Amino acid sequence: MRIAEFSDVLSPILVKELRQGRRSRALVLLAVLTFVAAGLISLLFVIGGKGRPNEGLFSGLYGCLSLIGFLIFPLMAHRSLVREQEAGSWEILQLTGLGPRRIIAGKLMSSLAEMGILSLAVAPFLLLCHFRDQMDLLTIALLCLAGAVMTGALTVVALFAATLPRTRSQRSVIQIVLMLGLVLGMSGSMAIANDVGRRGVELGPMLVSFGAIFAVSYLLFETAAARLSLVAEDYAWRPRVALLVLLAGECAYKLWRPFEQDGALSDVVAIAIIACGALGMATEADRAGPPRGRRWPLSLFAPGALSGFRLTVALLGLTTALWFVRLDAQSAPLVIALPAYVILYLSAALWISRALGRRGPLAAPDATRVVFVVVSAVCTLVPWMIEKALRSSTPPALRDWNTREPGQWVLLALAVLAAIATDRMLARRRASGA
Amino acid sequence: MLEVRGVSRSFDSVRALDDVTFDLDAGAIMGFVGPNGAGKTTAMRILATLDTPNAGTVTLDGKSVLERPDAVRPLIGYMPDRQGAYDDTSVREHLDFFARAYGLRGERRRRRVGEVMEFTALAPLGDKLFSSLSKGMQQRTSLARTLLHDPRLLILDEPADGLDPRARVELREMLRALAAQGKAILVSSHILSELSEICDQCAIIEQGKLLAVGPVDAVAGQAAGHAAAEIAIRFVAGAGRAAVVEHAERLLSAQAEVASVAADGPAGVRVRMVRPPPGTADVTADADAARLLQVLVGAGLPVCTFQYRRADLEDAFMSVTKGRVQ
Repeated sequence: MRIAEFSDVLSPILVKELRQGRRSRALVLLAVLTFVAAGLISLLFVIGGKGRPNEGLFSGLYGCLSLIGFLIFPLMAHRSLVREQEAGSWEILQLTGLGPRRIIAGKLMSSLAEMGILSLAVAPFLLLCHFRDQMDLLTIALLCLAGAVMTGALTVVALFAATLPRTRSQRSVIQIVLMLGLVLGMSGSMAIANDVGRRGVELGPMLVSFGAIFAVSYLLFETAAARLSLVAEDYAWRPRVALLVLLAGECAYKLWRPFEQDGALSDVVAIAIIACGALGMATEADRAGPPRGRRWPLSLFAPGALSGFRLTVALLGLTTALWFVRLDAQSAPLVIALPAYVILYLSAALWISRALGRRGPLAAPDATRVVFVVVSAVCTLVPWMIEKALRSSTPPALRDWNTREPGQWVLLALAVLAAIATDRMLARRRASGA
Repeated sequence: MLEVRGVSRSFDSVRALDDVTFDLDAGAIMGFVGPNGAGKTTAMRILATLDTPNAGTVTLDGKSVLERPDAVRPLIGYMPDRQGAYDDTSVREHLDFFARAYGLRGERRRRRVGEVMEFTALAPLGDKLFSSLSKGMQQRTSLARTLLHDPRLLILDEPADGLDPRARVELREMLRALAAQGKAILVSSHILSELSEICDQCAIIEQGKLLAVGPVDAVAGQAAGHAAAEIAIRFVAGAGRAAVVEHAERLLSAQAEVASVAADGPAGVRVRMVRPPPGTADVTADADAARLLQVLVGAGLPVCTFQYRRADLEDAFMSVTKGRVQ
């Protein structure tokens, strides 16, 4: 098969990005620099005799790859997507039938392909870790695989971040935050890789970690695609399906529990993640404008805040019920309280947004998200800070989280009432076309 | 082919489109004119499936643009006012990329890219970077991109914006050729003289409302108090010119095809003619003007200049719009 014919089966975006990379010579320059850097690191450790076996050389080479894979490529993907939106090519591309998912996937693939090319520059030096430091080849391969997975995940995060800003100033802020986040992600990943390199790979936890990374990346990917979808599209259902996949994976893992013996804390963290994810879906895909997507039999997957809110409440109820039957009496109150507070705070945010106005920027989903964060922060932190200031031992927000106390049921009843009232309010808003 | 019925679109308190209704047939070119902020781009974005209206329906070849955007997109070629191109790709790479995006594969893609480059006369510039092209060539590349999937409806937002006279003429010729191929073309522009030369129909929009829509001649005929044409007559200057002007005014006012006569300077008159019956505008107005000249010369009046100008799109535009923006 000729190269021209082979390129027919590739994503058009991937072909375009590789062409642009070739023309700008950025890829060639990066490959040469990576090769030189890897060579210098190897010389430093091999000839200089620095570092203990299984540690120094691999860390240096992995760091070299991480800098590119965890920082430079995600940032390049982010910039590329931002440029598409700024130049207006994004909408033209959507009209070709490619769709946002294929476009984002193309950018992700091009990052991975370029990372693969650069890995080849480091590969000969990685073999030194095997021959000099007796590092297991399988461990090296698995760590490289983990690096590729992290590159993909961080690129998805960067692409998702590119969909958030609406203005130039917002873009600048997002880029700074993203850069900080990627640096943190890079250092964390390097620390984990070094630790694993020393102790050896445990396949089970590694696969579970991969699964978790894939699930979260999938959710972010679908949310990014939904945010970039045209208003004429039925943009809401895919992120919501991704959320269900994430939840199903979480449930399956919790029920199976192959690698841990932990208790309530991880369950609460899990519910927090689920709640936040569900909340994100409730408003993330609810964009301004009149949605005219396909009508789905399950209205929970339709665009709009009402179906998003209902899905959030339903998922919180389901997961709470699931965890509740598996927990002991001591930790059960926490499991009830957290989703109840999430419903209360979300309802408060939606009502406050409604009071702020039905039109204009304050009525936009972005504003609702900000209000939710503020409400959550104030309601959670202020009582705790007051309690700290009064030197009491128990934070008030936790004091009543006990099913044996009547306060717990009052909280639950309040959450149910808030859910019903908010549902009615959103239904009326939808009926009025606002 | 394209049917737009009662389309309205609001952005918060701003009503960008208000009950817009028109039709466009295959092979026809419709000019979409209006002041800045009139709603032209909003309407075009809705037709191109980039936006959805609050009310109304749009169908293309019987398919709903609003309910089945995926089905109608292959039928639509949209050229926005922004280029949306990649500066660091060559013309050929740019077109090749979009051809891939449209799903064209292998030899078919290469052939189609060659065809559109040939049609738009871009073949000699195939290896030039997009950023190095002139504005006219960039517009041409955008038009070529719009044609790659052989759409039935072309929506062109300000395609002549920033072009030099030669590039405009070439664009005009290309649009005529495309219309001759049976494509329906909706084109917006501020250059009304350009539109009146290439369009069969036109729609004038202001503050989201369609003020006039129909064949160009019919819309132009609505201009300036329903005058079909205007004639500026000058007489030989000299003694007794006031009497000459007065005589001419009396003579012209008595003619059935004259709507009004007014003095225009010390030795001239300005005549506005009544609108002839629909469908006869071209022939009747010309013949009426010729007869008026005969009347004046026959009466022995010293006609120096006789400037006859039929009402055009610009007159119609100035007549029906108020220059209001939202």
